[in-house]
Amino acid sequence: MLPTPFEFDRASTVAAAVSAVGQEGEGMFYSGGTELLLAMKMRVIHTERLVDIKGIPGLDRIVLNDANELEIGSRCTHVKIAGDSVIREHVPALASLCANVANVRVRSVGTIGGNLCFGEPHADPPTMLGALDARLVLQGPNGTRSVHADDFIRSELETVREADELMIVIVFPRPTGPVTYRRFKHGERPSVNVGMAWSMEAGAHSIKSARVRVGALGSKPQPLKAVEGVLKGLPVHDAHRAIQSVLAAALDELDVNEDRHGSADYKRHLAGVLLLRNAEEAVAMQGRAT
Amino acid sequence: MDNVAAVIGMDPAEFRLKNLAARGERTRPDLRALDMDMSELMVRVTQSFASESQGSNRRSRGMAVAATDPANTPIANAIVRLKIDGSILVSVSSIEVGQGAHATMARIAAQTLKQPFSAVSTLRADTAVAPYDWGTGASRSTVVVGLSVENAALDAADQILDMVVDVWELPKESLSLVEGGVSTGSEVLTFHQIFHRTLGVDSGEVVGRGAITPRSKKGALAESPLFWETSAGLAEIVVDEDTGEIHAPRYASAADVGRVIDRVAAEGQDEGAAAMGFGHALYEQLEFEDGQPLNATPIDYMIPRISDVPPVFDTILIENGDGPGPGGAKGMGEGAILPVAPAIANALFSAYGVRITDLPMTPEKVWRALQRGSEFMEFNMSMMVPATPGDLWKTLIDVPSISSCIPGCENVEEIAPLESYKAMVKQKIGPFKVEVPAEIVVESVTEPSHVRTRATGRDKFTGTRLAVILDVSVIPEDLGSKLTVDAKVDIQGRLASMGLGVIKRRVDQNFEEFETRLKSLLGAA
Repeated sequence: MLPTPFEFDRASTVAAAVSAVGQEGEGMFYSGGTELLLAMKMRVIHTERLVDIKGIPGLDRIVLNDANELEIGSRCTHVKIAGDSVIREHVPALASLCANVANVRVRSVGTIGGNLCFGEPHADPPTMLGALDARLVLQGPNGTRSVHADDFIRSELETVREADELMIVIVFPRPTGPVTYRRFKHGERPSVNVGMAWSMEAGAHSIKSARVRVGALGSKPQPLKAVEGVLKGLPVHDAHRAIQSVLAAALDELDVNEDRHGSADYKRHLAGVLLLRNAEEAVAMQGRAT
Repeated sequence: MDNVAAVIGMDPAEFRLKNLAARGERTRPDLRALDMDMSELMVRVTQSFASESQGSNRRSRGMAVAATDPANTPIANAIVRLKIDGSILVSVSSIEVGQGAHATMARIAAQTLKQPFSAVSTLRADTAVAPYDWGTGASRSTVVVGLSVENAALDAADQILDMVVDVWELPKESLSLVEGGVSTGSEVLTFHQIFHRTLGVDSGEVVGRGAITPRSKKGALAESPLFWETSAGLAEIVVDEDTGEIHAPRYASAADVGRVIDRVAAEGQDEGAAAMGFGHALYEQLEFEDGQPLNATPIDYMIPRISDVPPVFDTILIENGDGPGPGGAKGMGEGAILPVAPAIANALFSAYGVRITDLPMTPEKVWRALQRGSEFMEFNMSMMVPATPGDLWKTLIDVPSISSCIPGCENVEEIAPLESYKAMVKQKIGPFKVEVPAEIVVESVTEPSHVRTRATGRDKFTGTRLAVILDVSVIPEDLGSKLTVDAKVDIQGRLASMGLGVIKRRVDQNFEEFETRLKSLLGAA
C-alpha cells in the first residue's frame, strides 16, 4: 500500500529540523525509516511532513570525549556502530549487539536513535544503554535536555520525547569493567535480552558496582536490583555464585508479558540463563584483563 | 517407529530395515508396487555421516524415511521444432517458477536429438500456442511432460531422417543424429544441407509432436502413482538444554530420483525442499487470535534463513535408471521435505527421551519437554542382616565382594580405594538389553555407618544416560544390623520411555537378589 501523501523536507541543521517538524500540521523526523516507512505504508502512521535529518552534519559522530564519556550520534546506523573502532575498543559488547540487530537491511540504514525513539519493547539497544548508564540528549525548540536511558521509554511504543524534539546524541561513561549482553531470539526480535555492566575497583579484583537490565519482557527494560545489590563490592570470582543465590527472587520481581515470544515462566527462566551466561563471560573477561 | 523400537529395545534403523516394504511389494493394493529400495536410501545417508565419528554426548542423531505418492495424470503434449540452423525450440505448458522445469525439458530434447544444450530454447508457456498439459505440480513434469518432449524430439528426428532416406536414398538404419546434422556412416550432412536439398530453399524446420496419455507405453503409466517419491533424512542436532533451542549442524538427505537430468537444479530442488522441512520442523507457524493472523508478515513469520539450515548438508541423489521418465528418471523435489521433522524429533528422543508431536519444535516446547522428560525415581529399601554393624560395614567397604552381590555388576576396577571405581552394569529387561559402563565416585564416607556414592554412565545400545545416587547406611539393631539403601535414579533417554514401572520392578527384583547374596556372603564369612 502507498502511504497517504506527505511533504518531504531536508534539514541541514538540528534547529531547522526541529522548526520544520514543529510547524503547523504534524511532522516527523526521518532517517533510516526502517520502522517508520513500513508503518506509513501500512497506513498505521500518518504524517503531513517528513523531515529528513540525514543531511545534518555531526549527528553520526562517535567519539570518546574529554570527560571520558562515549558519545554516539543519534543517526549512526547499527552497521556503523558495529564497525566503529572507538566502540570496538571500549564497548565491544555494544559493537556485537549492533552487528546482530534485526537483519542486514535494517542494520545498514536503521539508526540507533530511531530504534530508541520507536520504543519497541522487543529491541536490543534500550536494554544495553540502560546497563551502560546512558543519557539521551534531546533538542527541542526551547533548547536541549538530557533523559536517562531508564526513563526514556514510557511504555510500549511510547517515549518521553516530544514530537518536535530530536534526539541528537547518546552519552555514557566509558566502562571500567566488563560489559556483557545476550539476547535470546527465535525470530526477528529478541524474546528476552540481558545487559550487564560492572564498574571495577582499582586493582580490578572486586566489583565496585553493577548495572543489570533485562529487556523485552515488559514494556521497557527493567533493572535487577537484587542482583545489582549482591554484586556490589564482591570479588569477581564470587559473582556467579552470588547471582545464583538471589536469582530466583530477583527473577520473580520482573514484570513479564506473555506474548507470542513465549510464556511468562519460560521467558523469566531465559532471563536467568542469559544473566548467568553473561556473568560467566564477565568473570572470564575480567580474568583476562588482570 | 523410534517409539516402537525403543519399547522393544531395538535400534531404530535396524527396526526399520527389518520391516520396510521391499522393492516390488505393495503397501496398498490400489497403489503401484514400490519401485525402489528404501534400505539403499538409509545406507546412503548413514554412510554420509560415517566419516564423522559419533558426536559428543551433546550431539545426537535421528533418522526418518518417507514415501509419498505424487499425482498420476499421465496426460501431456509437447512440440519440438528443429530448425535449419540446428537450433531447437521446445514448447510445453509447464510453468517455470524456479524449479528448473524448462531447463530440464531443454536437456531432454538436447539429449534425445544429440544436440548441444545451448542449441535448445524452451519457450515461455503461453497456452494460446503451447500444447495442452494437465498441470505443473505433484512432481510430474519431468516424467510426464518430459516423456512427451522425448516423443516430440523422436518425432522430429524421424522426420529429418526420413528426408535423408528419401533424398539420399539411404537405408534409415545406417543414419544417426550427430551434433549439427545427420551421419550417414561415411559423411555428416548438416541440417542446412538436408533442408536445402530436400525443400529447395535455405530455410525451414521440422515440427515434432509428442503426446502422453494413460494409454501410452502399453498402459504402464496408468497405475497410480506414476512412481514413488521417496527420501531418507539423517539429522545431527545439538540442544541448548537451558533454552531448549535446537541447532542442526549436519544433515544428509537421500532421494531415489531414477536418473538426474540437470544436476544443479535437482540438488537445488532437494536442498530447497529440506530447507522447507527445517521451516516447519523448527520455525514456521501461523498464529491466530480472534480469527486474525498475528504474524502474517515476513518479519514475524519466521522461515529459515541460510544461517538457520545445517552448515554441513549432504544431498544424495540415487540413480538406478529405473523410473518411468526419460532415461529412467523419476519426479523429485518434494520428498526431501518429509523426513526432516521426524529425523530431528527422533534425534531429540534418542538423546533425551522426550517426544514432541506438534510442530514446530520451538525452543519453549523443547525446554518444557526437557523439564518434564527427565525421569526421577526414588527407591528406599532396607533389610535386617544377622551381623554386627562392624562386620557388615567391613563387608560393605570390601568393594570386590560387595559388588559380587549386585546382579549384573561386572569387571569392577578400582581407580582409587574408597574414592573412585569403574564397573560394567548389565541388565536385561524383557527384550531390552542395557549395558552401562559406569563411573562410580564415593562422595562421602562416615565410618562406620554411612556411605554415599554416585554412579553415572551411558547405555551402550540406546545412549540412555543414567545417574544414580546411592545412600547406604548401617544401623545397629538388637539382633544384628539394619542395612538401608536409598537410591535416587535419574534416567534420560530412550530407556525412560519404557515406563518407570518396568524399571522399578527390575530394581526391586535386583534388591531381593542382592539381599540373598549378601546374606550368604555374610553367612559364609
